[in-house]
Parts: sequence; C-alpha cells; structure tokens
Amino acid sequence: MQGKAIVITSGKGGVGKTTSTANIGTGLALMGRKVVVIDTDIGLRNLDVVMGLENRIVYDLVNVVEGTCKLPQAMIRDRKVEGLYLIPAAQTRDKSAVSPDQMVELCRQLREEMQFDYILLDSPAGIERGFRNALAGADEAIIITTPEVSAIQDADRVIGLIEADTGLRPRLIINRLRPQMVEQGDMMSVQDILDLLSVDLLGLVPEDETIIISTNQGVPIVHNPRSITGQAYRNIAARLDGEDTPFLTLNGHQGFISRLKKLVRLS
Amino acid sequence: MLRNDVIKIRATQHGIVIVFDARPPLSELTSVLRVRLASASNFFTDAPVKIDVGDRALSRAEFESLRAILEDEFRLRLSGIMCSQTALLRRVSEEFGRPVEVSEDGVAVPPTPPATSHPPAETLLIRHTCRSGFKVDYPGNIVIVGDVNPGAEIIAQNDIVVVGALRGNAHAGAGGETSALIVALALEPKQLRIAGHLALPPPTEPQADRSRLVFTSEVAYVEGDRIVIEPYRGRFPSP
Repeated sequence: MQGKAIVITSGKGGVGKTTSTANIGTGLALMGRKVVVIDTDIGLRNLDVVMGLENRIVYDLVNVVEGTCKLPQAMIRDRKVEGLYLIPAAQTRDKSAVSPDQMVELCRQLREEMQFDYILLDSPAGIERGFRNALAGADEAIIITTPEVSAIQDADRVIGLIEADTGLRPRLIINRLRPQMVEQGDMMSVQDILDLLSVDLLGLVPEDETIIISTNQGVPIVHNPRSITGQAYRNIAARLDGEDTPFLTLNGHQGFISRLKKLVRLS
Repeated sequence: MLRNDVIKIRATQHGIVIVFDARPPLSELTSVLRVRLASASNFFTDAPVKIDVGDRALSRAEFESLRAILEDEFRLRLSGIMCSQTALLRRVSEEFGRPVEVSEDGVAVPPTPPATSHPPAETLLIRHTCRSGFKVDYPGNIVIVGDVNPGAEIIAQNDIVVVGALRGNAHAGAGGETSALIVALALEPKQLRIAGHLALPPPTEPQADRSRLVFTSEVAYVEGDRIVIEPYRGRFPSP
C-alpha cells in the first residue's frame, strides 16, 4: 500500500488541529502503522509539546529542507509507541523558510523512500503561506471545526480553497461537541454543520476537560483506554485506515445524536 | 488638438455615465477617454458605468474597443449603453438589414429594447456550492445550483436564482435594476440587496433551532421603496 500524506487544517485557530494531529497520529501508530507527524507551523511550534517530545528536538523541518541535516536526523521517535515519529517545526524562523515544492518533495521521500504509511501534516491557522505549505504535499485533507459559527465559516472557506487548488474532497472532524447543548437547541447540530459544509464526516470529538491535562502532560489522550475522547480519536484513526467504525453510517440526526449519547454514557 | 470636452463624465442617480460627443471620430474619443480616466483612474475603479453615445450608432467593433478601455485598462464595469432613439433604430436596421421604425402606438416593431438599452441579459450558471470567500459579480443573471454559504457574495446586474439555500450575501440588480429578483429554495441570507435597497433577516430566530424549521422557496423583490420577501409559488410578481 502506498503511504498517504494527510493535511489537518481548519482556517480558524484554537479549534484543535494540533491536539487532533497528535491523537490521530498516535492512534494510527497504536494500530501498528508507521506514522510521521510533521509540525508545519514554523515559528509557533507546539506539536512537540502536545506529544511530550519538546526536550528531544535537535533538528527541525527547516534544517531538513535546507539540507543542514539528513531527514532521519530530524525525525524524533516517540517514547511510547513503536513506529511513530515527529518532525518538529523551527521555532526561530518563519513560514517563508519552507516552500510548497520542498513540502511536496519531503512528502514524496517519506512516502516512497522511507515507506511511511501515514504522513500527518499539522497545518497552521490561516490561509496564507503556512497553510499552502502544509497543503502542497497532501493526498488527503482533514478539516477540524468546532460547532461555532465562526469556526464553521472559516472551515467553509478553507474547504473551498482546498477544493479549488487541489480537487481533494476534505473530510470533517467536529471537535468539542456538547450533545446536551445540541439537544437543548443551544448549539448547531452535527447535521446542520454537515448540511452547510457539504462534506463527509470523519469523526466527532466531544468536549472534554481532561484533554487539557493530557495536552499539558504531553501524553495524547488516545493512550487512555477509559477516555471517551480517546475512543473518539481511536475511531477516527480506524476510519482513516479504512475501517467501518460506528458513526460512519449516519442515518439522520436523531439516531446519530442518541448514538453519541450512548457512547458518552459508557465513560 | 484634442478637446477634452468631447467627453463628459456625469454622476447620476443610476451611477456614472460617460457621455460621448457624437461628432468627432471614435478614435479621437478613445484617446480623450484614456486621458480623462487616467487622471481619475483610482476614483472610478470597479464602479459600474454606462456610456451614452448619443446619435452615434455604435458598431460591434467600436463597442468592443470602448469596452476594452473601460473594463480591461481602467477596471470599470460597463453596466449599460445609452443612445438616442434614432441611433438605436439605425443600429437595429443595420442588424436586420431592413428599415426599422417605431410603430404608431409607440411600440417598436420588431421588438427592440427600450431607449436606454441593456443588451439582453446573459445568464451565468454556477454548478457548485459557493463557500465563504467566494465572490462572483456578473453583468446579467446568475443561477447557482448549490448552496450559497455565509461569507460568499453573489452580485448580479439582473436576477439571482439559487437552487439551494442562500445563506450568504446577494445583490441583485446591482446596476440599479429595481425589477430584479432573488429566488432561493431556502432564503436565509446574511444580507439581501436589490438595486439600492437593503434587507436584513429578522434577528430573532435562534440559529441552533434551524433543523426544526421548515424552509420553503421564497422570492425577494422590490415593491415601492422596500424589499418584499414571500413564498415562491411558481409565479413572479408582476412588475
């Protein structure tokens, strides 16, 4: 199987791109896949922090594309999971230090020469150079949004840009969903969001305070077998890998929400 | 010696009109036009303008050279042509190769457009969802098969028809055409404009309740001095 480069993006900042990248990457690696996660947010790196690898950084993405180090030297092996690597962003440079062509070439090397199954590209917020870099090498796109109007509108914009530039059909993760608020009519429902964005749903992640703890500790929540959020990310990883896990067969918003509620009760 | 006053630029309630003197040759007019626009180019950028050619019966090639100057060189939007009735009849006669005159009861035969003639409106068909950030500005009708999402902007000189939900901004009759319509399967825009009129949706309805609402096709049009929105029952309001 040829490896896939997948960009994870959102338009709006703070909706959970980096947390999702860390958790999906870890989830795929836990399934036995060979995964590399790349922080493309040059100048504002934090994927390394979320994965608990910040004190192991020697070389970074900019060093790789400028040739000051070999590609394997910049790949930090995860402490816990076999087959999971991180290429961190440079903290002291800016987005112009990397070009879209260099990202295409990097993804090709990782896919073809290093035989990675998944290359996850954690995109910066915005629609400028950094986003273009992250998008350049991607074979698939994942959009993260929260059920807020502003985040959804930015997601819509980004989906439009991706469709126009690459012809890819992005898939959607809705993060920080609160089923109760949806039920009370205080939050846009999943169906409303899907109607507006007209894209396929890849996953739902409920609002969860413990994710803050996991992010601060640098241990992605997928490692926690009892966490419902961890389960949500494991499901997303499985779905990305082609498994037909629940939620994929949505028939109407009513049945879907009650299924989510059942899932919440498990925790 | 070129005389600058062979071209007059007027701001009217219907927008900017560039009036051409009928006597000098068109080549002289185009050079003066360039000079006049260059001296105020930024001021006019993206503005809709009409040209008034008076008694001159403009040929297709002549029209194209004027259009190229206005739209391609100076980035104006040529929204219409005005001319005298004689010029119009002469132009139509050339088109048909037969004499054309206005009939007794004032209705022209063959069916010619009214004296301030728009060319028959062309229609742009868009067959995809118009997402946030998408903008289209078309000098005719626009038909969209798909949704118009919040943050998208649709501007037409004539009608806008959305075979889907209209949730973004729409401006029909952008050149001042008050008979323009906006029709959508679900009309829930951020802002609706027809010619110079503006309508905002009622602020009450909580958006989270959307899924419980039943949407019907609606049509928006101008009546008097405001925009009226009513369920679309397969018939357009009579002008």
